[in-house]
Amino acid sequence: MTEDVLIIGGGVCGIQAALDLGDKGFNVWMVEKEPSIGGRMALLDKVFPTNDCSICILAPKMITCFNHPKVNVLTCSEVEKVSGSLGEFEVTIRKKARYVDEKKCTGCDACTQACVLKGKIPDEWNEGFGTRAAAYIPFMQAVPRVAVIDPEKCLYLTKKKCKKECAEACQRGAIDFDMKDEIITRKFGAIIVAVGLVMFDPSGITEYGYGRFHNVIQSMEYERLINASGPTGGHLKRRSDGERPKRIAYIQCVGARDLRNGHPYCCSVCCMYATKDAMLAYMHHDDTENYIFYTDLRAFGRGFDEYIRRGAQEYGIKYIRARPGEITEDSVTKNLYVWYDVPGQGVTNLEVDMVVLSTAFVPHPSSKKLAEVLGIHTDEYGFFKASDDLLAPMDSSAPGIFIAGACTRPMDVTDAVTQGGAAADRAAQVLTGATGKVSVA
Amino acid sequence: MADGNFEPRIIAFSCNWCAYAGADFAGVSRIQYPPNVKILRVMCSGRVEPSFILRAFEKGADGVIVGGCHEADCHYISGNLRAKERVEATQQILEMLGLGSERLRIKWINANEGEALAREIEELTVKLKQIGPNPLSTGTREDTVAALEFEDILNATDARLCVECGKCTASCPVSRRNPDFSPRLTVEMALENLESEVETSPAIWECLTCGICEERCPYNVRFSDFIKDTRVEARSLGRKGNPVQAGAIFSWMRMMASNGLKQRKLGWLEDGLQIKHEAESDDDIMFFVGCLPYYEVSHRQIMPGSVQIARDSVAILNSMGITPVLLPDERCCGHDMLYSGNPSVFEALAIKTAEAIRKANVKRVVLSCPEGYLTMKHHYPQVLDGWDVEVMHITELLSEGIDSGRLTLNKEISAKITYQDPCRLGRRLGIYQAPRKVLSAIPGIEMVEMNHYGPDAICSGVSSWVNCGNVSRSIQIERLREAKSTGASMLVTSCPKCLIHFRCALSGKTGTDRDEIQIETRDITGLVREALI
Repeated sequence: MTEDVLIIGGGVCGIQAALDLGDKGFNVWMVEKEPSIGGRMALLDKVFPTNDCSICILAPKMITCFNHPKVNVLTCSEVEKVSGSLGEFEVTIRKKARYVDEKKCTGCDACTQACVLKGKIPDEWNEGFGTRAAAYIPFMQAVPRVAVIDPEKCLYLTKKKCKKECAEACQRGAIDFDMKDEIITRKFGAIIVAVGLVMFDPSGITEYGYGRFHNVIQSMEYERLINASGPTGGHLKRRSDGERPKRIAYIQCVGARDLRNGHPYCCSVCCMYATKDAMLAYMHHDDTENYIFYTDLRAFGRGFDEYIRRGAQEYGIKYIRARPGEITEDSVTKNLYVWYDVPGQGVTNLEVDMVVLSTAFVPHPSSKKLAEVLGIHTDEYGFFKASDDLLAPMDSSAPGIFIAGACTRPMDVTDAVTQGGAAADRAAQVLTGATGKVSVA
Repeated sequence: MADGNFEPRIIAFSCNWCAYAGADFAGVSRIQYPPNVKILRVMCSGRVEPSFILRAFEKGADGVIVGGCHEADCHYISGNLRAKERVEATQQILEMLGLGSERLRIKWINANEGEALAREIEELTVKLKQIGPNPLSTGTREDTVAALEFEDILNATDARLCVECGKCTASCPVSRRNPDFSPRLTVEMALENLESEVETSPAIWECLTCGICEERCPYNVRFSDFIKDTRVEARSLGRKGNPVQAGAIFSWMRMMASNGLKQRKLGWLEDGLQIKHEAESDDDIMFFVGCLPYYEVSHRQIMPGSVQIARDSVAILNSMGITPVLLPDERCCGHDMLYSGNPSVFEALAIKTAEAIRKANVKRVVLSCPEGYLTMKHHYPQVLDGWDVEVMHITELLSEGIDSGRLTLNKEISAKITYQDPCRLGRRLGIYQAPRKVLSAIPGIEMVEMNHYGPDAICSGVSSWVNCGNVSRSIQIERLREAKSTGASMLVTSCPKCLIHFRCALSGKTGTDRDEIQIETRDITGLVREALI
């Protein structure tokens, strides 16, 4: 019987759960697949409805979590096997070789500068805008701020064809190409699953030309482009010519509320984040024209409806109720025509410089396997399913395993944080109940 | 041949200035002629469309005479020559239908040639008495299939899921040109229970049922089916849109549902093509020719290349070691009847076709026409019990042939081509790869895609032979422009109807710079056959 808690996923939801449990005195292990914690929120520019700088409010939490005396953060790690039950889960974790000694690395970036592949690998942390090296720090505010070597790209690790310039450049001798994956087996009393989501790939929705037309991008790409720490330093640029877009169309519900590809649900946040995106474009340059094509405006949270109103009144956002039929491209200017229907007037088109697709939130591809490893249920879309949606929303179908955040359904930051806290409380509750203690800390 | 009591019924379309005046002259001169004729006055024999003639036969006429002015006498310069050309073409149709071309005559009769008119009527009456009555069952066909309840259509097509987002209308090539047609507003009206407004709206005949709206509809509202089913009730209310060629095509399709008919439609076969009339084993394949020989005549002015598709298909099958089954009395598949709101005739045709296929012991059917393919694959099982025939499009068979090595394409055809996805083959049945694979297997062919391809392909502008007008033409011209702008020298399709529509567009006034749209149009079978040698 142990009271230690395992949290799978180091996004804002997992971080909140870790902090709450750590503060209560529980030993917490956090397993994060990526080289840095922070999840999706760490990559956003601003958050609605307050337009706070996302990383500014998250970074302190990331650092607190990482340095918390009761929280042990494992990055580049995945849960491979789970057995046992509440109070005595036996968990096997694979801590993948980082090829950089976390204790020695100071995050000085010398290895990145030395890497022969510098500038040659599309940067997935910037949604493919910009490039990175094989030895790199994922993003500026990464926690831990420690380099990682990409084993799939590194010339030495893949072909032994590199003079290991990075190792030479590292003054601390932190780079270790002999590092091996580490298998850790440990007992935990409870598990919280908070692995988050990914964005739907809109290239299958061929009528919108994503992947075919340079200036059709999806919302996460937009976030990186408008982000001051992103690949363009916060300057919105068109992929085709690097020019600043002056007319931007945002198309809502791309892949969401759509029976064709198995995502019939509303993603609940896109009306808000598109408004935020449009506001940001306007804040950067107030001659930007923003058009949001929506199916229904769903602004149900505190301050949300007011936010939309502000968008329309103060930022000049034009809200158009239509799902465009298709997007066509001017082969010369690479401008885009958004074709939509105005009831009573017929079909018309709007010429814009850039189109941003507000793509659906879909379960993380690792969720399926994780559900099998944990032996818990997912719903028809692949989101983790609560044992009782109404009365036990944080409990998975297995006792002692809790689910929280956007791996359970699409949700915004507020809800993810709320759920992280709620899952932490549920874990604390069952563990103290299981050990007969009244309370801890 | 016929029993002695048979009195033929003859319709004589007579031009106002000559033939009708000739009939008057015969009357006042007391010239005797058989009472079997009913004379219909038209202003000019050039007004007599094939649809008039076919309609007369469909309604039970045993013979038809078209009477006009002597050549060079036409009061409208050349209406009579036009009539002659049309009559000759219609004779070919009658010949294929098995009615025989001799039932239809054209005669130049002057206003003072009452005697000649009388002789003509007499001659035809005698001839008809020899060859017997029109074999078609006569009279108006009763509708045996009732229209679905409007409620049921809404439920069956998931129209109730519509959130009125307008993506359908914004995707529709017709709506873009005709603001009176909007899938969104049509469904909205339907959901507001404005049943009769929907059914009597001319707009529902504008729909191409091309399926681009339902391909893109996030809620899977099946608008093509909605239109197909709504047109049934609309037809019973007397609406029918604007049938192409004034309904001549529908006429012969309806005739094919008749019991008495015995067609002779294999006259196009050329020497060297191997066919048989009955399957000898379960592996034998029937090639369903469909309406191709008829289109060759009905669309003769635009060189439709329809019969060539049939010849090429048989030749390709032969080269693969297949001797296909072809039936001389094969009926229309019923597609156009079904989609123009006439399920009764569709069902009659489906039953007849299935019967003929069963009689010939055929278990597998291959078609060059995607519409026939959709009909047999998707719609026959809806109306026929025990329909277990394997149906495939010729491009699927060819694609298999390439894999198995049965089809070898050796001759180089150096051309840059682009491909038109037919809506039935692509969006409705999901076959995008097979034709591309076949085309790519031809040595020397370079494939380029248009902006709209695969599921986004734009329809060739007309469907089920209704409402071919300015909107259709505009869609076709735009599509041709798109094809041309790829830099390709050839637009290839795998649908005989697409080919007709594009060739039709190119044959007329285009209202645009011809250089921007002029492109060679071909059916995929033609290219494949060429590459065989």
